[in-house]
Amino acid sequence: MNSQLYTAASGMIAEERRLELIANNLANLSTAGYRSLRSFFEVYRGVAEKAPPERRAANAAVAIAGTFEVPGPGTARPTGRALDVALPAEGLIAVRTEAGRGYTRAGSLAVGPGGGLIDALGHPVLDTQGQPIAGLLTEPRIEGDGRVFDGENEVGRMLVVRFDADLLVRAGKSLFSARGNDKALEPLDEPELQPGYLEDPAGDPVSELVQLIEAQRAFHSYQKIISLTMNEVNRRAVNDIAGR
Amino acid sequence: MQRAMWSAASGMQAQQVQIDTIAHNLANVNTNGFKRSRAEFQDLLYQTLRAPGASSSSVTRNPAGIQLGMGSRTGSIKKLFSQGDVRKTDNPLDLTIQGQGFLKVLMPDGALAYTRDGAFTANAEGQLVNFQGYPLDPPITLPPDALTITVGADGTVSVTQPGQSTPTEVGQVELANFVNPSGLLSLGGNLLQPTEASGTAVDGTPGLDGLGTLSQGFLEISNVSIVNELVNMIAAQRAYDLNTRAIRAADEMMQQLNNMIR
Repeated sequence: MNSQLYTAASGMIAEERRLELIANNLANLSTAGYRSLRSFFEVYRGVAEKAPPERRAANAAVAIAGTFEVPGPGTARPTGRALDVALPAEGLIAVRTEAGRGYTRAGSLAVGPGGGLIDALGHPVLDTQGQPIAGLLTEPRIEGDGRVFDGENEVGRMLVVRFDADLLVRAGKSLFSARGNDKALEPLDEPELQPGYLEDPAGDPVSELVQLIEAQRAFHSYQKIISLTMNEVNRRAVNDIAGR
Repeated sequence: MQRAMWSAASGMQAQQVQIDTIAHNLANVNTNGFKRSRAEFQDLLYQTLRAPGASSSSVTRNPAGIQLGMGSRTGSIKKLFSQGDVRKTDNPLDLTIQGQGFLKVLMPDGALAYTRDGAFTANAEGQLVNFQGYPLDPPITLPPDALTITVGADGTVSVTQPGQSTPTEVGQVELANFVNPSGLLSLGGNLLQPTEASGTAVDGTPGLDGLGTLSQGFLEISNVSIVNELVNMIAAQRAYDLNTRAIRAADEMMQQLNNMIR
């Protein structure tokens, strides 16, 4: 009885998840290299397969089926800083973290204490052999093809890999991890980096706001269904039918 | 909903840091040798409700995972060492570095501080000092009867004295450079101090080894672009607005939940 209650409740939970995604996107409106996450929903039918066709919809539940990131890249903004790089749409920079390899789109690189190339959190940037790039002493510079120079000396070539939605999970702090399967990521031979630029977050605030309103209204609709079921349908069932 | 609220709150904090940074840049638009800062943000942790590529049956896989983020955080505030605007002052003791490098001054505690502020004056002993009275390093002392003072592009300081037809060299201005100037620590008073992150100072002669040259009679002001700062400020303000909107949405949804049971 009252399966519509559970359908509506599942809808409320799904909309709540959607709101949480939107809030995270809005919180990262200034995070370089961030890509907004969107969600898609799926419908579970439960026991409905055995029910007659006209009753199937009544037994459904809705849930978030998955999250995916909006395609990038975001706008590349000129910064004039030699060690800022904007990445191509599908590229990620490989770095060494405490927990194995990480991958990032945050292209604000710097030179660390020992002359090594590091990312914004101090993780060493890796070369195509998987070793940290070092030897930057005077005039560090990055070329569009990923080669790193100190003045006129080439000190290494950055490892840039292709984004793979099946393998990469977001680990926070603008990092992705490949769930222990680093070898499966395809390195880009001609990465086409843009030195002197930083990538703005991809995903526009307008659609975030529209989705926010949508989630809020949908949540309200589900709430109305529950209130109506509890207050009206059940009351009338008890009073009008049973009271006869 | 709790998650949404905390995410949005972290977004508001980030935009607040953004505005603070912009305000500091704008306040120093006319500060000699000032370098603008840039706030950099990162996303916070993620809750992975379902990993991407997980199997949905023995032959099929989920097309996407479910990851919920927890907001953003301030990663760092970086100083950007691009060349600042240059103002002509005609004061012979005003120096501008064209290119990379820092001037060195000796602080009272004996440590060296580094600066792009090239406004020097001579103290009672004729020694070149900055506006706090800290002497330039290596020290340069002008003779009391100096008529004209010339600072060459390579940093040589020479003076002409009464009764002499050729100028006399009295000192040499040195510059220092760092492999990672963004890692320098700001001391206030236009002074910077080396840290572990900046690396050690590499001293040199102006114009050599990638160091900039000196221009006498000019002062380097800040590298703050008012237009850019204002555009960034508007963007930050709107982003702040949007985050409050997310909090309000979460709040209203919770209110509706509470109203369900009466």
